[in-house]
Amino acid sequence: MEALLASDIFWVVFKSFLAVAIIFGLPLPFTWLERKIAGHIQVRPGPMRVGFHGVLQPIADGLKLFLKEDIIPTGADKFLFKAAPFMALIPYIAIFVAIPMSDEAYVSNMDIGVLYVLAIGGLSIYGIIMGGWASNSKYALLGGLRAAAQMISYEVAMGFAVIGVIMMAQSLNMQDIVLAQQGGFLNWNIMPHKQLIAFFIFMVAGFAEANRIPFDIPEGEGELGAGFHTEYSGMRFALFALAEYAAMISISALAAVLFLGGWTSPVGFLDFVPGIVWFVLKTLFMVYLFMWTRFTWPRYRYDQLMTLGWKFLIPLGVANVLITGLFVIDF
Amino acid sequence: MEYLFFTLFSSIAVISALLVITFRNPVHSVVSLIVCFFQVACLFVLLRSPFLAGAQIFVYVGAIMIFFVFAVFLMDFKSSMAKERFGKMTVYALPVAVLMFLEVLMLIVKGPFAKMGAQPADVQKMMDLGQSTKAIGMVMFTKYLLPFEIISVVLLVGFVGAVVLTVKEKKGE
Repeated sequence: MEALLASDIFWVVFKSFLAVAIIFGLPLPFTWLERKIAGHIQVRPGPMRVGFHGVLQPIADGLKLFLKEDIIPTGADKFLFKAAPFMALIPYIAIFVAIPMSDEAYVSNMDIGVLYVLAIGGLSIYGIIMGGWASNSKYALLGGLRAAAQMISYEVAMGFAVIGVIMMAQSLNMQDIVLAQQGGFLNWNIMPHKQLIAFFIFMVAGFAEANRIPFDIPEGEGELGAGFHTEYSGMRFALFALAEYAAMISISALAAVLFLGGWTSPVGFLDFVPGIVWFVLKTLFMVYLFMWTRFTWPRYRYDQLMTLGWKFLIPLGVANVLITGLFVIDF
Repeated sequence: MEYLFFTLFSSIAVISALLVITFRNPVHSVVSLIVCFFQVACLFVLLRSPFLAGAQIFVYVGAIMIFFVFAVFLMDFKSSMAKERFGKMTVYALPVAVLMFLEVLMLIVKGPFAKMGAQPADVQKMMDLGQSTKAIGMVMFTKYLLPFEIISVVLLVGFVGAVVLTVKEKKGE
């Protein structure tokens, strides 16, 4: 037993299982939270019937989805149709390998942390495209194509936003980026004298990458049925929903690490609070921001989305990188 | 352990590369090409260059392959599906392929790589894992600055060419 506890491989496997369990478990309370927030924003109570204030609602929903028939449409590409939900979900789980929850709680402290997260995060798009194509349905295919175009456009903007942060920390390592923001909230990257513009770009691009309102045009109920997952039912549909939540959580966690100082405390006298508490609080705040936006903003039109991405966010990102460079450089 | 992973990654890479050219459905080919690129990135990790692995996934798997998928979706599918396994060009392609293969084989067996031999311990010492990103940046912006800039210009020419070929000026404007 002691030999097992001492071996690196055991700990890597253990931490990976823990990360996967967290990502699979979190969407349950989050769906309840989202519906409650939606309800209160729209001046209604939200789910109330199942359990105290509807807390058991997600379990009832999960059971329903689990028991539903798994329908594969005629003419669908069977293998890709079945694989697509997993292709959408797995990258977001893989992202959590690199995100430091405190100075000790991480699976891997990668030297290329930020690059890894951006690279792997971009892969989930294949789940959406392939799901849309394999369904053999026009709406689903259009949803998939829209998702691809959206992802390509906003990944560039997100990359530029992150470059600003990397320049501040002089490192791709996530721990180094957190440590560069140590010493109170005035040192966080979100502050105007640091990377406020980058934070703005990052969040807008993050909304687009997670396919959340106001940028959920791949789903677009109004015009595309339900977009790329029109033909999905039961557990496979649930996996797509899970992927969306995982995306939201991972982008929130990433924003907390890159811009909100990660696991460092906002003010000096609160240093005794463990880092992981700060990390969780910051991530939850960002998740709340996602949900808040969802129920207060309408959906953008496709061409508006593209204009915003290419003509506004990317030039702004380039300008931010140049200006940051001027301040960071050693004269 | 490392050998096990090398065997795993390289065999999947070779198999998926073969599947790219044997699948009849272009979408399936694209998917196996994605798998192949991903395995190459894994091999870069084994070679202790995580930055290259990240760049491989970011650029090839994340960006270029999405454009491939796009192009394949926009193609006329039914007509582009290969009807027979060997087309007319096989006669010309086969000797070229064999020649290329022999050249690569010569390079591996007799070229500079063969003389270097396998010295994983030395490589580890030389390339501290924490410094690989910095090392690549240093080399790229000092020793190889000119090739780097030339490649940028070539890419720019490609962009401009694509725009010139596709966007036609409206008459009368």
